[in-house]
Amino acid sequence: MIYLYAITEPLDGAAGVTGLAGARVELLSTGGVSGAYSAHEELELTADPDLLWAHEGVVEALMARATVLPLRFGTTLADVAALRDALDGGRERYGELLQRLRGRVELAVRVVDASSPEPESPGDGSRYLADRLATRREGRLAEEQIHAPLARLAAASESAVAPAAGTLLRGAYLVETGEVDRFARRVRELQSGHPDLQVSCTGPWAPYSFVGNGSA
Amino acid sequence: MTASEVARQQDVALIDLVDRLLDSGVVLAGDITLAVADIDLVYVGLRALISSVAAAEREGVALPLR
Repeated sequence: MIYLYAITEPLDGAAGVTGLAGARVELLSTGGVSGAYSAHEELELTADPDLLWAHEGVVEALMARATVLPLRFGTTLADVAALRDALDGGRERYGELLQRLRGRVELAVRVVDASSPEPESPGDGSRYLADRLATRREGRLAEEQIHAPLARLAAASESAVAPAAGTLLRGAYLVETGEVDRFARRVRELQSGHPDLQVSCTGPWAPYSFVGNGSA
Repeated sequence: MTASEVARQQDVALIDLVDRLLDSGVVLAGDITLAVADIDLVYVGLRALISSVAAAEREGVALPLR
């Protein structure tokens, strides 16, 4: 079977790029795109951080050479012929996405309450409900105060209010490569202006959040 | 940068990585082989991590580096 990492602009080769389980990363080019994969007799896929970083390492190595559409972790196909079919079948969509994402990267922002107490032990239902409602309310406020100004610096953005326990807001931003520093400065300014919040920013990532169904 | 700040940055990067690789990215229909149970396990682990990191920061405890 083959494991897939990304679809990219046509590339000549992926020399020196190492994938999961130390396998060599290879390219199949067809119809104006390339698919980056590694071949495996057997591959045990779990959501282990080392495996996730290995996938990400390949995507980042390719990203340094071309525009990439990162694949979701865990994507496998039977063989190279199946990959050719998949690439040919999605040619138009992948071509359009590559064009829109060229020269842009994704930045991730996460906002948590800097002062919130530890979650109470389960059992107190009304307390839990009150906490969840407060998180939603603070998350919507963070959406106005943090997400909105950052979204203005981005070609596209996505946000989720209270996506997980303890997190007020999660945002993803598609930013021109040359604008990354400016975006990071804005994050620091917003952090300074909101000491009650803890604002973190990671990236640049490949545009994982902007390859969906034309949402970006 | 203190050890606890470095550790926290690594933890945040891992959480953002998990969000991206498991929840987004191009999907080729029907080819995801990853077991859902594994994803749940990672998320539970990371949520615990977030709250323990927040607690450690308040108390000024340095966290071990990965």
